[in-house]
Amino acid sequence: MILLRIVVFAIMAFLLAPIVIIILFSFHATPALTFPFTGFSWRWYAQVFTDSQLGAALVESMKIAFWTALLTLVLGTGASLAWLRLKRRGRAVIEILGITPIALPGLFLGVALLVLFAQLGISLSTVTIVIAHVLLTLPILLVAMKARLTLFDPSLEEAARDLGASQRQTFARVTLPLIAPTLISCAILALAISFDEFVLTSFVAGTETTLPMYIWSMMRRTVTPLINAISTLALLFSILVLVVAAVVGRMRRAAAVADRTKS
Amino acid sequence: MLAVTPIIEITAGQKSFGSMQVLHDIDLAITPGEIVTLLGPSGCGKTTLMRLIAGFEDMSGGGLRIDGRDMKGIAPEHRPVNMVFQRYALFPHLDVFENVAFGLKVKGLRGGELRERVQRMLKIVQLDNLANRYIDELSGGQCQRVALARALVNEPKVLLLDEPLAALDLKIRQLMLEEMKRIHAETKATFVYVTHDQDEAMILSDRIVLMDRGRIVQVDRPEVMYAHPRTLFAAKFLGETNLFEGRIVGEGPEGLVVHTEGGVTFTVRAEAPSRGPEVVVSIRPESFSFDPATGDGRHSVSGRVEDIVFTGSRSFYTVALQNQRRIRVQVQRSAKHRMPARGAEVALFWDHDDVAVLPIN
Repeated sequence: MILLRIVVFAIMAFLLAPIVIIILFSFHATPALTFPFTGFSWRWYAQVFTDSQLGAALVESMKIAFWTALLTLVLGTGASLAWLRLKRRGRAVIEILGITPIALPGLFLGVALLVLFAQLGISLSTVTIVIAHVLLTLPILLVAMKARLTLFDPSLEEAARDLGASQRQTFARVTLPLIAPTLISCAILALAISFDEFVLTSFVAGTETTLPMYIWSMMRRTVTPLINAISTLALLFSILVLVVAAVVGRMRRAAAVADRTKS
Repeated sequence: MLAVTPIIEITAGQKSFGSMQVLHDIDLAITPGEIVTLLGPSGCGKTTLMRLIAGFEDMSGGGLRIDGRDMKGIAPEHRPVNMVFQRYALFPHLDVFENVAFGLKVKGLRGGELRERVQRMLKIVQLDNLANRYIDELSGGQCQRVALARALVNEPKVLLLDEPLAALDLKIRQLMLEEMKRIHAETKATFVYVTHDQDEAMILSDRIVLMDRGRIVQVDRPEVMYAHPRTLFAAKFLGETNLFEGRIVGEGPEGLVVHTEGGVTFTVRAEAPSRGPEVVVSIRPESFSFDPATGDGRHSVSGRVEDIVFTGSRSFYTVALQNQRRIRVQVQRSAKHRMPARGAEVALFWDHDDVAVLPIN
């Protein structure tokens, strides 16, 4: 039992140590990223909020991540609903076509997209970056959704219809709530993938600069805890989103239960 | 019976999937308030028939009226029926209260009336203390009750139940059957119950609709169907029976005279089946007796006791006739009579009212 605990703690430490180090050095007073830790300072955080180029790249990346996630969600939900209603052969087609893009190395995909956009006369911009990112995130969503949907009991939709729900009500009250957790986690994953995508982006970015591209160019000069500060802020943002979601969920449920005992 | 308009009326119902026809010439009228069981082996079309009534499948031919209204082209959500699904199909993202409230909510009911109706229904199925539980926190029997409540709270004209007890173990099944009868009495809805289990059908039903290979074989009260099966299939499917192939050799004042392969002669008070003199005679194990007084005094056959299985209140005997033909006999335990032992020479008696004659297939 004690051994088991030690193993568990070791694994946790292994997983969390990099994060702890990142957070720690984001407060480092000097530009060094290695021990010994020589002093505490907010200077890198200050720099995040004052560096206008960095700010522009951050906004650009966030914009791209947002649209990528949204587009992935809409297309992925549509594909999932189709998958639920298709027979075996139709499902296989969706799976194969959907997964092909991630079977290719990003390098080739990038070149192919670049050539395609050039042929079609589409100038490289934020739009082309979003298109490229969706190409990466949609297959991941499809794989995750397939795992979830094979467990989806189609008689739940029949039960809803039987209880008087129209097709729209069935979707809104049964199908969507049941696939929503998977959709949301896929959307978060899409956000994360898009936010730090580098290889594909560098082919189709044109004159745009995303955060990973900016950090890359910055690192070619020097590496400073600025990157740690950005990471820490991103981490903080993720935790905040999760906490707010959990609290809101709990409050809504408590209100619903309390409502019943009223008479 | 004739004065009442049937709540469900199917005329010449047909259903095909592609080139395969799964339902043939279904004619069925169900009276308001009765419990009707669609009984048959798996693949006999009973579930398809129920799904036609619920509106999940379209009929390929024939007519369906529910409560006097033609159901052609009417979507499931607009039919005055509710269904209890085989594996319940409860909504896992909702708790017990919300599951039961679902039907009322989509119809726009809110506030006090909603709460009141849901709570009243939860009380009927004795789940009022579990309203805030999620479905995965319930036992099989509790899920069953939620499924019943979720359907019945909408006050359907007809409640459809698709093998609702199949997923429960035997003990809970017995309890739920009684529960179902109580709930039926309390709600006065019409129950249409699909099962392949003859015991469930006999315990629960006012009438049994026996189905085989897409056709209705016989519709009768359980005791009538048990005593007077009209086909070999019905005799075999409902309960245990002894079957003798034979030939009608004449008709006396007591009924048809049938000589059978076992060398036993039966007289049967019944109409001869229309398809020729070759017939099968069916007689239930409990219709035989070792006591001359319980027979009709004219029929008996002798044999030797080969095997006895004692189950407490009843004993099952295997009696071999002279020609090695074996007969199953079931006798009630009795303090008055000494029961024959293994190897004993016995005479078997029966009453010709308990004999059924069936067309050979």
